[in-house]
Amino acid sequence: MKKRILAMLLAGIMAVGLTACGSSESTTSTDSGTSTSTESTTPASDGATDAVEEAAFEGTREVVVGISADIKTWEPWGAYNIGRQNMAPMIYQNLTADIIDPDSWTMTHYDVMTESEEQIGERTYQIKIREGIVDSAGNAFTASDAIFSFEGCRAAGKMTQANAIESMELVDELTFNMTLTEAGNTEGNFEDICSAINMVTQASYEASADGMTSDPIGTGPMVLASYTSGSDALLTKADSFWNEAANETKSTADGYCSMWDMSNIDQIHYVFITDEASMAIALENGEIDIARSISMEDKVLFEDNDAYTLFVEPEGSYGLAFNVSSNSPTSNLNLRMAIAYCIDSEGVLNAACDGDGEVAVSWSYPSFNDYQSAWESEEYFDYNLDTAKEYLDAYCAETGVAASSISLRLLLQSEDIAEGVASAIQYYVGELTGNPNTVKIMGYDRATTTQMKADATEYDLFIVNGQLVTRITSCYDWDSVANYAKNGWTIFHEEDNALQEKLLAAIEVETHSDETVYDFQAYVKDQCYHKNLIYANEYGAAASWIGDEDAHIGSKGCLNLGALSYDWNASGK
Amino acid sequence: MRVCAEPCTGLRFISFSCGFCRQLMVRYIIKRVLMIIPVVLLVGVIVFTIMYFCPGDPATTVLGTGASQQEIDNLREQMGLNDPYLVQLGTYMYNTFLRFDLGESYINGVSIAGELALRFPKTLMLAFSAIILEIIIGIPLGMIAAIHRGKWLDNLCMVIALLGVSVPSFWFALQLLLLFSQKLSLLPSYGVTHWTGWILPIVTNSLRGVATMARQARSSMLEVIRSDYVVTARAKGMTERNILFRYALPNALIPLIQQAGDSFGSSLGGTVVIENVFSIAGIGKYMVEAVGGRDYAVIRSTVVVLSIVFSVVMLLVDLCFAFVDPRIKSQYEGGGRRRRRWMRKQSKEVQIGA
Repeated sequence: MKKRILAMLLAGIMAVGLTACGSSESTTSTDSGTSTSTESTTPASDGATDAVEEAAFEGTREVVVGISADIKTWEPWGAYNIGRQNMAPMIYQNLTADIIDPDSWTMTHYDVMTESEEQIGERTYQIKIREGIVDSAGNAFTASDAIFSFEGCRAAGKMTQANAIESMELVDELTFNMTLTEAGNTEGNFEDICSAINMVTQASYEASADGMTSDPIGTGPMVLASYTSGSDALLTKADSFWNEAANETKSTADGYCSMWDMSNIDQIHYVFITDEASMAIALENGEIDIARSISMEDKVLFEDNDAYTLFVEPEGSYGLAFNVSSNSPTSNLNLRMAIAYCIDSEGVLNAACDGDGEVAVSWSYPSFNDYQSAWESEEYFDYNLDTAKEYLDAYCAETGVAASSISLRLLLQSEDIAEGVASAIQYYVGELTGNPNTVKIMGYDRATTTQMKADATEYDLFIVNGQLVTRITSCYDWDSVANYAKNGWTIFHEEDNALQEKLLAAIEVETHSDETVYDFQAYVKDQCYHKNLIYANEYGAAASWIGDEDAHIGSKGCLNLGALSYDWNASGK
Repeated sequence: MRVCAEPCTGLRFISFSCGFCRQLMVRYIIKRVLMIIPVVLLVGVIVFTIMYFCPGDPATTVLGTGASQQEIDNLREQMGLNDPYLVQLGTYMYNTFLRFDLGESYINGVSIAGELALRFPKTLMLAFSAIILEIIIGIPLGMIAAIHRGKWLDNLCMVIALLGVSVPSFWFALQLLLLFSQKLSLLPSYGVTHWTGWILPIVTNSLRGVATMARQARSSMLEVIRSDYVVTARAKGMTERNILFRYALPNALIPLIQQAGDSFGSSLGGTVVIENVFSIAGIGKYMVEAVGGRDYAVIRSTVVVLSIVFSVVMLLVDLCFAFVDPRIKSQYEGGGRRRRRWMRKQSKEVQIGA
């Protein structure tokens, strides 16, 4: 009897504890709101008031940013990770930058270190560097340093962009020509190269004992003051930044870009917090000022909360690609159509993201340079179970296969949203065939998924998690469609010359146009090779004295600290 | 040098002042250290082979999905991944065990030895502090339960122990964070740059070990308390305190020392959840990230280093056994013939000296 009572008591304690987990979060948000009302936090003010308030602030303007991964190495051309994505741009600059304009939500191009770029040949571009660029060690940056940077990147072998460069030729001290390879001369690739590869001066790089692994020197406004691997990094302002004048005038003609405008910041302290729950707690405690990423569950703590600024940005697209090779039942167009029409994208969004995000109406995104608004008014596999059943009946009649005996393998890279999408697809296809086990979900880590998707015998359906890059043609590269030209395969594993012809017409510089892009997308839709499902969001948050939530996205998705406003007097620092 | 006339006996700690015992113990230690070498070599071969056949490619992880096959092949060539299995294995074994060069990470080119030097102390701190707490809290808890067997104190201690074993560490860690960091703002929510940052991770990491140690201690003590010699000691009028600490506890220590050793070993590579929740740059996280990225160099080197450390810990555990229990120590003394031979030699030396 005593043991039974004890067991019930234990179960009760566990249940209360688990419930307290959730209720304490909601209590916390109330507490935060309550405490905010007693504190005098002022909203982000306009520029004139900022100037007056900043003049009154006497402390060090240090912003503490929590990010989820360590950069590990500060070399200019290292492998990508989230730490590098956010921290390296503070020290290194790129020739150009593409940043989403917060007002129009379109991609805006900035000539940062270049005065101009001009296509002077079929695959040749002439780039003129701005005068007066120096790095934080005082070494002047010239065209030969740009060539050195591109060649150094290629030699490092960790970024593929530089492999698209066939040759470079110095014209004068500030001008050089770049010729791309034939395969590399695709639409937007030149711009990607200029905006992706970090620039360094040869003198500073060669003076470094370890290839700038621990002592990075770039042309950016910040320098590395201290770094503890796995713990934190402190960046302080360089003694002088070559483009301080543009930061005052905000003139893009002079190379201004908010990414490198540190007028309102003295130092940035990055702390590496790997757990999202800990990140949220650290922000609530005031241990950090900005949480670069918070989970969907923790978002509710900061949404509609005056004590915080919530950052929302598109995380990526999730779409369904079909294996159309003879190894798979989805080689049949009727089956592909049936699956495409039976999936309700709205339902997928609810299942995977709690309804937070957007339903995709094309294989594109509104912020892309070459987005076409015509897609918004076209039918795009709109959910229709009757239409799906018609296609399914046609498939069954054609092949003699019973609907309930269809078996499909769905491959995906395991992560929260993709798994939610997969579960939703499994449900909808099961609803269509009458067999809930029609779709078998196969989730693996990134390395295994990358290997398996190159094998046509390993899957029938594949969830494509595409990054939201700068243009549609970049999507094709990221989503492994353009791989055919490089490796002889695509995620569709098709042997379809028409698809490849239309793809090349869409991505090659000479033939790229709205028409060729539209033509390619229309063909993919007609053949039902791919159905884009949703655009998911990712979240960050900051203390309320940091504002301008729409302006926080920088080049290549990094956190644009320079574009945010800071009410230092309200910071409590 | 004092010569043992009789084999070492008695139920007390013995300091090996006997030269014969000391000599045998040194030989035993040397033998065990030498045995570590083939163990570590075998571990190296096994982990290399497993990673060789594991699906996934570090070159693709580095270059991303948009890379061409040519680019991937070039990077694989650079990394030495296109060589045959035996060539790669030979190179790896030569570099690791003869040149003591753990190499660099495939993904980011950072020195593995440098990273381990930074991370190991943090993991060791977690592991050692857990052991200390297990001993300080777990053993007394188990002793109290054993002494008051069947009473409410026994039940209370075992409930606490059961909770400790049952509660998932990640849940416990988050609860501690919510209470001490968020609600009370007493302790930091991440990192271990300040000493206060160690408190929550150490408490979380030691919870299961304390609970297991308490249960084991109770079980061992109950077994020993019922022994004849304890009954005899009680009958001779010794105080309970004396009986407990001079007779019962030393004899109950063997399984507890084993438990502590096992706990330390599992802490070395098993603290990834705690390291993740509290943002501690330790070995666990390092390994998990390396596995995800197929960073073979990091995985192999870290496993080899961990196997060496674990082997040394097991050796220390075995030595502790000998210190604690003379019955085990007497096994090191070997058979009677060896002892008699040694004693004859000592006698001759004494006579010659005289």
